[in-house]
Amino acid sequence: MKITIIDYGAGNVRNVFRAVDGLGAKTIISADPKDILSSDGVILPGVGAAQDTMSYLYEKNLIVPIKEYIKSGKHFLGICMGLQALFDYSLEGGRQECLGIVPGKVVRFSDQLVVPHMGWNQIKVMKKHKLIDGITENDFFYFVHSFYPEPSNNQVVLATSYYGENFPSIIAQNNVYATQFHPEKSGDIGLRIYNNFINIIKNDTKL
Amino acid sequence: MNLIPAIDILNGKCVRLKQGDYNQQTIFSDDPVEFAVKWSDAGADWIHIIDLDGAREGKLINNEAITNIVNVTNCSIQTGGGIRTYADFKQRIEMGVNRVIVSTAAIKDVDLLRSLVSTFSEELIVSIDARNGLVQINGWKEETNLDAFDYVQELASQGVKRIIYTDIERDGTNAGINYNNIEKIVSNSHIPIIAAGGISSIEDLRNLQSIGVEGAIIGRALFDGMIDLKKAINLIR
Repeated sequence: MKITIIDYGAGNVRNVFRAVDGLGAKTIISADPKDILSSDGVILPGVGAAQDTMSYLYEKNLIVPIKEYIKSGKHFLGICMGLQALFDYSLEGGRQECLGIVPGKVVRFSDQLVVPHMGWNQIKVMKKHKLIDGITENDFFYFVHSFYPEPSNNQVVLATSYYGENFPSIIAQNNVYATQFHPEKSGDIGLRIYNNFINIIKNDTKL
Repeated sequence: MNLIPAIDILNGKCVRLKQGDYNQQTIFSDDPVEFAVKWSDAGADWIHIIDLDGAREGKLINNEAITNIVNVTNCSIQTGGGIRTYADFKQRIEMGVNRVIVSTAAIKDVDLLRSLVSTFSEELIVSIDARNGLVQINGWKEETNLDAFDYVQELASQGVKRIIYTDIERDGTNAGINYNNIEKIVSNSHIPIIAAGGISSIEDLRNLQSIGVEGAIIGRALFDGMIDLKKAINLIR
């Protein structure tokens, strides 16, 4: 099994690598489309602004390979900005077109709230899913973000969190999964998300 | 990344020590509140206050100054120094402090650490203060045989949700950060890390941001004017 963590020079790539490596899958960090297309699992981590992320993916010619990979039905995990990039567009920095894989947009927290929403927070589970096997509503996850997704279809929301308002914190659409928080910064319970992702791949008989 | 100005209090005064040495102190103000207000006005979200008398004596000492800072600034406050018991920790929380830092007590009292993790998981910060890779305790006067790197993993597995990693050799020196050490600690740990020790330029701050630390505690460089807090906050955000 090969897992590729998409390298776009962002701070948490190595952190994600350390979290995934050692879970029983061959893990690499790469921005090479060939690596992405030949993987069984792809992780798009992310920090920073929507514009920076999308320009980077564009410059590295990764947008088409990522869409092609997802279309093939193989498993994809987005983290933080990597979740937001999946939507149609983000209102960060005006309007930034994103990958358009999950219908909906990304919006900013209300001006009344201190942003970024930075720190540990809980989730409210909306739907059972293999990605959140063994995770309970008592568990805490680590967030750093000022924007959050508004999916057109609420069926993709696996869990929500509350920061002044409820927002989707874990989503899943077919073979695409994503968390608004950073599992790689969320202690042992965060690592379970990566482990669950790997188990989903392992148990996929089509691969 | 949060830029967190540090205020260390010794004999009621605002001081900086060099490498944690109580004999190498510089007094910056007779009134710690003066600087707290200055950092608050500059836009700091957090202030880091260390009760140096407390750290040395193993009990809470500079309560009044800390209470004053809590009351007069708009900042969230994290404080440490001399926290040895559950009651000490709770007392700080009741003073209005947002996060409380333990170091010596986390190592020496396993039961205390366990109860703090279960009751105050959000408010607890464990400080790992390292010299030559080894964790130091008791106001940095006593060396343990704990490897700082291993200890971060150990604390994370015990449920600690936030760590301050201080490089003692760099602390209070304006010598710049120890990039490799911090990068190693952060990329291998799965909880947020706040870095301290030697931060003295915007470049240091940018490096810390690229490593992915949650916060950077800045001490001497602010007092010496090497970093302008307001400008730095605008640049880094």
